[in-house]
Amino acid sequence: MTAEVAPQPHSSAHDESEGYLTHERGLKSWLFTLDHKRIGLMYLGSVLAAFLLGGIMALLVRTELLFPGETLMEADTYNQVFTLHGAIMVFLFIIPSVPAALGNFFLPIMLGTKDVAFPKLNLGSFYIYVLGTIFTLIAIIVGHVDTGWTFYTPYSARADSSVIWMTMGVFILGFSSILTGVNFIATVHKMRAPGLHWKRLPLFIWGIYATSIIQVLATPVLAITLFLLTMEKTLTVGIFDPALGGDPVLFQHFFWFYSHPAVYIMILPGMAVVNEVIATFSQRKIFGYMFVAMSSISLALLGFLVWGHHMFTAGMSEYATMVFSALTFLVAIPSGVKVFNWVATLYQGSISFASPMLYSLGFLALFTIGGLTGLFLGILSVDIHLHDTYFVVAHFHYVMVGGTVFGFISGLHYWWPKMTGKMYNETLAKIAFWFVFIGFNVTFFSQFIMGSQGMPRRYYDYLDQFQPLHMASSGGAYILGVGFLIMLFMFIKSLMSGEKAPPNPWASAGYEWLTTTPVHPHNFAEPPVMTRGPYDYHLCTEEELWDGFPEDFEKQAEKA
Amino acid sequence: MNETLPEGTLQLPPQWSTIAPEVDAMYYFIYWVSVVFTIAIFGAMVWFMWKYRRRPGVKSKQPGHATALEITWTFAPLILLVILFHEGFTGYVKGAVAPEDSLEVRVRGMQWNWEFEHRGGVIDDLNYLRVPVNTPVRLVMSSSDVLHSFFIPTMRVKRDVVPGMYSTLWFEATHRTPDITCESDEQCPEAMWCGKVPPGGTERKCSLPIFCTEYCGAPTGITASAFSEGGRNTNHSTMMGDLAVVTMEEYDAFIEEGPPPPPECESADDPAACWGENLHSNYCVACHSVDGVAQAPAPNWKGLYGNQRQFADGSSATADENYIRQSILQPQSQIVQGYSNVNMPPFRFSDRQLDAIIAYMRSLNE
Amino acid sequence: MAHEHHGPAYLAHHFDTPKQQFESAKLGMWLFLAQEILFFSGLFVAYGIFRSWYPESFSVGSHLLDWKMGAVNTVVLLFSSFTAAMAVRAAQIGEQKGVPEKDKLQLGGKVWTSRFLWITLICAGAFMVVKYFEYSHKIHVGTLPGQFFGHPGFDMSAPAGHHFYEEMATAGQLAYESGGEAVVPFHLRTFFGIYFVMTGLHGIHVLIGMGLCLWIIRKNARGDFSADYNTPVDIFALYWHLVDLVWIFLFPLLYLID
Ligand code: HEA
Ligand code: HEA
Ligand code: HEC
Ligand code: CUA
Ligand SMILES: [Cu+2]
Repeated sequence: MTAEVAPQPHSSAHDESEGYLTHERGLKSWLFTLDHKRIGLMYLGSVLAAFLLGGIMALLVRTELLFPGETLMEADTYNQVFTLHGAIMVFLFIIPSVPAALGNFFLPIMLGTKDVAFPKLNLGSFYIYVLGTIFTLIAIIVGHVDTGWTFYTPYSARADSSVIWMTMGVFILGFSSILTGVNFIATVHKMRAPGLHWKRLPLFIWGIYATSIIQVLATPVLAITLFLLTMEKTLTVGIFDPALGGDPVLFQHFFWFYSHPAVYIMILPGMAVVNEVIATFSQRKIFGYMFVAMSSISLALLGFLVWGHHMFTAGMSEYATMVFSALTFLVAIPSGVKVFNWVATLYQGSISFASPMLYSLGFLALFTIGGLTGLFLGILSVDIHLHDTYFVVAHFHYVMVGGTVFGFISGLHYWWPKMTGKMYNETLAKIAFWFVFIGFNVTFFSQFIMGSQGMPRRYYDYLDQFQPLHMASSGGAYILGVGFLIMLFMFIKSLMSGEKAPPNPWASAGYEWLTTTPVHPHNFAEPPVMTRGPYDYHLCTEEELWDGFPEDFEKQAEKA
Repeated sequence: MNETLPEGTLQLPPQWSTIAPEVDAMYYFIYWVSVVFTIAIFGAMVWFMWKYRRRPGVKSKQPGHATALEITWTFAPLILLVILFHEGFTGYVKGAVAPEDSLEVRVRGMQWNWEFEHRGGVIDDLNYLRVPVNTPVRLVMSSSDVLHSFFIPTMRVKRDVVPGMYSTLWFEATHRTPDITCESDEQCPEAMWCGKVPPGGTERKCSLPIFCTEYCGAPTGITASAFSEGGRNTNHSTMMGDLAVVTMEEYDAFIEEGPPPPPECESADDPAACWGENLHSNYCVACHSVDGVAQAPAPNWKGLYGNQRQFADGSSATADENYIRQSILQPQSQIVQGYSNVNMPPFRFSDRQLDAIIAYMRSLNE
Repeated sequence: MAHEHHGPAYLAHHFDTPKQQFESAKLGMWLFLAQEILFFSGLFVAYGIFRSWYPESFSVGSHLLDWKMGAVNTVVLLFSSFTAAMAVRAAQIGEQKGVPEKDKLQLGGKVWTSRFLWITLICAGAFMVVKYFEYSHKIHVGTLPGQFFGHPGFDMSAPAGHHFYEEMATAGQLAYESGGEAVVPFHLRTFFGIYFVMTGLHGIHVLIGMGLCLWIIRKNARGDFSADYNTPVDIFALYWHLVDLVWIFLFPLLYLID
């Protein structure tokens, strides 16, 4: 171990060609790799493919809803399409998006270690994910899954047997998620570089750490629930089917016991990314660092106590509804702490509006709207009216798309140069941003209004009075789609012909920017020792914050 | 009746029930709280974005500690949240507990229709609910297959309908629904839709929509809108019903006489038999055939009237008016031989409907 | 991997010290066990709810289980947990090379590790054999879950009831209505649903444990373990204790009601 070296600034002496992307070649070197970076990239590819698939389903949904009655497909097909849209987006895309793709890549680097604690398990998680995906795809191809992503009984217990493929697929995906969580927690506890104590931990890591806790403790409950549902469909165990003495509401309790914490599995990583981006592009330490870190942990824990707010109309006791409503409001506190601290971070910063920052600022705005509308739903009497209407659909797209997806995309832009060694076309990125931002708001803001007016969700057909708003929503979705296509084009172009990226293009103080670009196969040529925090801009040397190539810095230094 | 109808706002449909104003007040309270927070947060954001935009030579300043500030914005919202919770909960309790003297209506949800049974066992047309104005009405709901959820936006009520248990819901309508004939939704006042032809009527009328808000599926091959097959709905998104708010006098008259015969029978040769046939195809055809051949799962109706019946317990009787009436109202009282394994559900028809069915059965023998 | 090696052969390249490696593995395993507990807790919650709703059915159902077989299995599993612990101890003691014979700890070293693991494996096998007899008996008489309840062999066309009444009678659980018809509590089927799911999942865990045990035996035979490095034996034993623990709960909850 090298002693007493400050975070190793990108040693230009190191041979560039030995980056993790090229030091080994061939398909096998990817498929059997134990390198967390390569595994992260494989996840990234799969997750983006899932996003595209889920997005196509979303556009089919929106097109069908352009007009009342049949537009594209029949009712039964529509039901399958929105079910697959929800299931793919949640289980194949958003849950693994930030943790498994970006987290895998950057968690060990930010910890200054060579790899996650269990590299084989990490590769195993990826293949479990692939297996789960295969099951899900089989369900789509052979079958007829039309239960909604919530699989409510007794409908799901009586539905087509292909639902079993789907539930088993999600069951398997769950274990991928659990094992990733186990891996990350062990890594954060045991693998931090010397000098990296808890108070210096990057907030990205805090967020992923909190997420991992939920993944480990909540996902098994989903697993057992889906297992029981599978047994219900094969052995008819009669736990959920009222005809056999079971209780369909019990299924809902089980399902939401996982799926509410799961929404924090989705949002915490998004918030985690935003921390890094806002700090970098404001050149400032995140305001109230410890409060932000602790709010992640408290969100993770509080998240376990509020599942009942999805069931206010389902027939719980008055007492239970009251407790769940009260606890739901508590969740707003740590979320608020985060929002306020991010805004305060901008204060006295030096703010640049590069594309990653645009997405993070977008996150801030949209998550605030999404979160506040969550409070509407937490109020008992108001939720009675809004439950299962498009208001709920708008709420969760604001937090999941406006929140998590914006966070994910922000991180994708932010770390793209470090991952690929290529820059992208900033102008195109900004154009894409405005398409996405405007398209998103048009799509989902109109849904708030139609929802509070009484438009129920999961409706293939609707009353004429909602038609103008549906039309606007669909129009927005097309703009959104165009935005993502521009982004896709921009990233492909960057891969094919992007300029070479310097090691620290955003002049960030974050640890991951200390290493070379493309990243060294073992992350750092020399194991680093952390002598400052990841946001200590005032402690950074000019060389550390140099956003060009190291050679140029030397030249400039000579000139001066 | 020409009273002014309630009007909605941009965000909420018209207030048609006694609890609606309270729910809406709550809604607008949180709405304005949100607006204030949003403006404050966006305002600060945009201002900082402008003021601290990156300029050459200007460096960022590192934050110090601001524990007081942190504590403030951790705990100040808490007060607000306690208020929100308290108000929301009181409103909810009010909505959850029906007044003692409420009028009761039984609701049965089934894929994909609503059936309403009134006092005295009067069953109205499928998917048609009428309630008296200014009277608390309590719905006692059950489902015979999967989950459904009963939702009337204008009343601000919603409740899941769960197989294997009863759930209840109550509301008190404050306005009578106007009698407006229509051909499409646009011709109806705000938040109303052009529902189906009311029982006994000849033209479609505007009414308040009832939605099913718990996903309950669809068979393959469905593309059309609500009420496509002879008054029956075909999937979750069209599992709609009409709510007609009437005066107490109109309601009492309806209970007295039961639902009127379908208008197409008025000109029929035998109006009663025509009505009976109509009822058969709505409620009985699933089990009883009338072709004189099929005997499963229930006895064929052709030749049934006046026939000698053998029962499972060995006794026998002649199928006269009284026997048939009894068989419909209390099917389990005498079980026909060979049919012990299928249970016929009891149907509580009005006397006029019973007469109609008997007339139809008799006509089958001719 | 092309870079210089920095420690003993068992130290993976991304760890700095064996201690770090060991602690990481142990923490990882504990997290995995936490996950397992939550996985099973779903079942225990379902059990609790249905038992409180249908106490008679559960009581009758419990009498239809053979508590003797359950007890034998409990003893077998407890013993196997003990031998698993002994295997860890043996591995930790290691070969004691250079230690004078009289100072050597008993039952230590590779050979004993292997012996204890084999005993563990055999016990697990015995457990599964007993379970096999229990299951096949239930399938034969038709004490089955849900719609299969009363139909021997999961065969819905098989006449319901006959064997099943005999079974009830021998267990002394057959009551008669005034009309002479036997009363079978409706929710017995729920009890057996839960019985099969709980013991079935536990059984799958036992099978997985047997696989792991074999794998550890092989590694041990190859000489992978020493006093310095025996993490796999240790975490296998942790897993095995959990499987044992779950059964300790299942046995009284299913077999010994009232
Ligand atoms: C990323 C995912 C995500 C996130 C983060 C959230 C966050 C929240 N959600 Fe959401 N929710 C979903 C995803 C998510 N939700 C999904 C997918 C569904 C529907 C599932 C389905 O049925 O298919 C759903 C449904 C849902 C319901 C059920 C609605 C219904 O079906 O009737 C409720 C009810 O309480 C709810 C509430 C909340 C609350 C209170 C928060 C809070 O965490 C929000 C906290 C944030 C803020 C409040 C904003 C910032 C705070 C401030 C600016 C502080 C100041 C403000 C005040 C104190 C007033 N959500
Ligand atoms: C993460 C979760 C997620 C995401 C991202 C989205 C994204 C979108 N969703 Fe959806 N949605 C859900 C989760 C999500 N949704 C869930 C859980 C449900 C409930 C399902 C249920 O009821 O069971 C739902 C339901 C739902 C409905 C309600 C259906 C109904 O109730 O009848 C609608 C209707 O408008 C809708 C629309 C959209 C649209 C227009 C988008 C758009 O944002 C999509 C835009 C994306 C694209 C067009 C893809 C473009 C991608 C590429 C081009 C490739 C990308 C590559 C790179 C950028 C490199 N969604
Ligand atoms: C779920 C199936 C089912 C439906 C629906 C049903 N029945 Fe029946 N019905 C039966 C069965 C089975 C019997 C024979 C057993 C019995 O007598 O109860 C029967 C018997 C009868 C009898 C006595 C016939 C005889 O052979 O003596 C009459 C009359 C009758 N039903 C009328 C009706 C009417 C009127 C309706 C509709 C409003 C109706 N049923 C709907 C199943 C049904
Ligand atoms: Cu019934 Cu949806
Ligand atoms: Cu929730």
